[in-house]
Amino acid sequence: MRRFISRNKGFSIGSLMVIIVIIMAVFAPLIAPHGYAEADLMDALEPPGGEHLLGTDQFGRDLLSRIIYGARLSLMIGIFAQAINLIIGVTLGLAAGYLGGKLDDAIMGLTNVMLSMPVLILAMAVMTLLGPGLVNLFIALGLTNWTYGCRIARSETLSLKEEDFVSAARAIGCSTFRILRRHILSNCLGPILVIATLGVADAILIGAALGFLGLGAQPPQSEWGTMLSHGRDYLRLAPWICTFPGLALVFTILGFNLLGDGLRDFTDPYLRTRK
Amino acid sequence: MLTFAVRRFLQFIPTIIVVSIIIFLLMSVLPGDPAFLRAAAAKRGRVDTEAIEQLREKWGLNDPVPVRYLRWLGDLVRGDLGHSFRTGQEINDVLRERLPVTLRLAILSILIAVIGGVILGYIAAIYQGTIIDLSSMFLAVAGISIPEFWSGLMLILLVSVIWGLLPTGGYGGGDLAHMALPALTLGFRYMALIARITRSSMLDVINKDYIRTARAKGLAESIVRFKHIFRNSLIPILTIIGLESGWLFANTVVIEKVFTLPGIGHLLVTSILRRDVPVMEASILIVVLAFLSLNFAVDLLYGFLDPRIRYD
Repeated sequence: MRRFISRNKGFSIGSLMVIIVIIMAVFAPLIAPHGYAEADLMDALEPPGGEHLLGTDQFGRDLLSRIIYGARLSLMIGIFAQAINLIIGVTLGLAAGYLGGKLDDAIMGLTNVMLSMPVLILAMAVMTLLGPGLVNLFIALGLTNWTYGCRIARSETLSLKEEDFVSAARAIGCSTFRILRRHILSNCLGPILVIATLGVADAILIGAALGFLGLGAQPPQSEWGTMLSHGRDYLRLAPWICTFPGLALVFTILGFNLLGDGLRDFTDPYLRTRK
Repeated sequence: MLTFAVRRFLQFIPTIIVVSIIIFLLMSVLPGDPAFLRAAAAKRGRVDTEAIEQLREKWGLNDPVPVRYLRWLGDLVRGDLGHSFRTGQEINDVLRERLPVTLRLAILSILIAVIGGVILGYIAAIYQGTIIDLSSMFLAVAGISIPEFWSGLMLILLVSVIWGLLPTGGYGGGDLAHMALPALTLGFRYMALIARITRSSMLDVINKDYIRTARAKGLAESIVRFKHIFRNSLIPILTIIGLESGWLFANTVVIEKVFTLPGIGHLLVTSILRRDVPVMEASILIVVLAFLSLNFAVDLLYGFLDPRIRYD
C-alpha cells in the first residue's frame, strides 16, 4: 500500500485535493472571512485584493467566503446523490446478477433505457417535476445516474457466484440475503469504491450544470454553478466572479477524478501490471 | 449487412417507446395546470374559469393519461409534434428553426473531438512515457474535469472580451466565427475521453506478437503504426464515441446558454422554466433520438472496421 501511494502520483495528488475541499467544507465558518450571504452594496464588484481577497460580487458579497461555503454544497451534492445512486444501482445489480432469469432481463432492460437518456437531460426533467431546491437536487441526481453501479455490481456478482465459497455458503444454508451481503457484496467493494469516487465527480459536475441552468440550488445559497451563471452577466465588468468559482469546481472534480483513477489502479492488479 | 441494419433498427423501437412513456409520464404529473397558466397570461392575471375549461377541452387535458399518451404517440408517428401551450406555435415550425443551430454545433464539435482526440491519443501512445505522452494525458484528465460552462465563459473572456477576436455569443447565421468557440468548448471533454481511450487501446495492441512480426518482416514503421496498430485499436474508440455522445448532446443545453445560441437546448430550458409541456417533450425526444441514431451508426461501423464481427 505504501509503495503504491509513493509510486502513484495521481492518487496522492487527488487525495490531497479532496482533503483540502473537505477541510474547506467542514470548517467553512472558521476559515471564511465573511458570511456567505453578507451583502454590502457599497463594496459591490470590488476587484480582487485588499479587504476582499478574491473580490466581491454584484451584491458586495465576499467571493472567497462564498466559494469556501460553496464547497459544502458541492460536497453534499456529490456525496448524497452518489449515495442514493449506489444504493439503487448496487441493489439492482446484485439482484440481477445473483437471481438471474426474468428479473435480470427486466433490470438490464431498464438500465438500457436509462442509458439511452443522457443523465443531464433526465435530471433536468426530474428537477422540473420536483421543483428547485437542494434536497430535490440530491434526489434528481440520485435517481438518474445509477447505471454504472448497477452494471459493475452485476458483472462482479456473475463471476463471484460461481466461486466455491458461495456454493459452500449456500450448502450450509445461508439465506440469499446473507450470501449477497456477506459473501458477494464484501468481495466487490473495490470496483464499487472506484465507481463511487468517480461518480461523486460526475454528480458535482451535473449538479453545478443544473445550478448554472437555474434548476439547481437557489440563491442566496452559494453554489458554484449558480455563482457562475450570475457572474456571466458581469463577465466584462467583473470577470473574477466567473473565474474563481469555476476554478474551485475544477479543483474539486479533478481531485475526485484523480483519486478514482488511482483507486482503480490499486484495486485492479491486472491494470497495474499492464501500465 | 442490410438485414442486420434493419434488425438493429427495429431493436431501437421498444427503447424509443419506453423512453417516450417515461418522458410523457414525468411531464403529465407536473404540478400546475397549463390551461390555467395560459388563460391567466392571456387575460393578464384575471382568470376566467370558462376560458380554462375551453382550453382544457381543446387540448384534450380532460382525458385520462393513457388516452393522451396514445394520441400523442399517434400524432408523433405521423410527424406532428403538437403545438406549444404558451405561444400556440406549431412545434414542427419551431424545431425547423432551432434544429439547424444545434445540429451544426453538435456536428462541428464531434468532428473537432474525434479528429483531435484520435491524433492526441495516437501521438501519446507512440511516444509512450515521454513528456509528449504525459502532457497530452494531463490535457485529457483536465478535459474530463473542466465543466463546459466554465471553460466556455473563460474562452469568451479571453478570446472575445480581452483579445476582441470573435463575437461573444449569438448565432449570426451559423458562420464559423460564431460557432468556433461553442464547438471547441463542447468538444473538449469528448476529445479528452477519445484521446484517453485511443491511447490505452493502442497500448493494448502495441505489444502483441503480430506487431513484432510486422516489424520483423521489414515493414515500414509508418505502415506498422497505421495499418497494424491503429486499425486494430479502433473498436474501443468507436464504442466510446457512441457511448459518450450522450454527454455531448445533453451539454448542447449548457453551451447554448453560455453562448446564447437559439437551439434545441435553449428551447428546452425556456420550455422548462415556462412549464410548456409539449415543447419539453419534443426537445427531450430530439436529444434522445440524436443519441440513439449516433449509436446506431456506430453499430453499423463495427462490422465495417472489423471483418471478424459477423452480423448474422
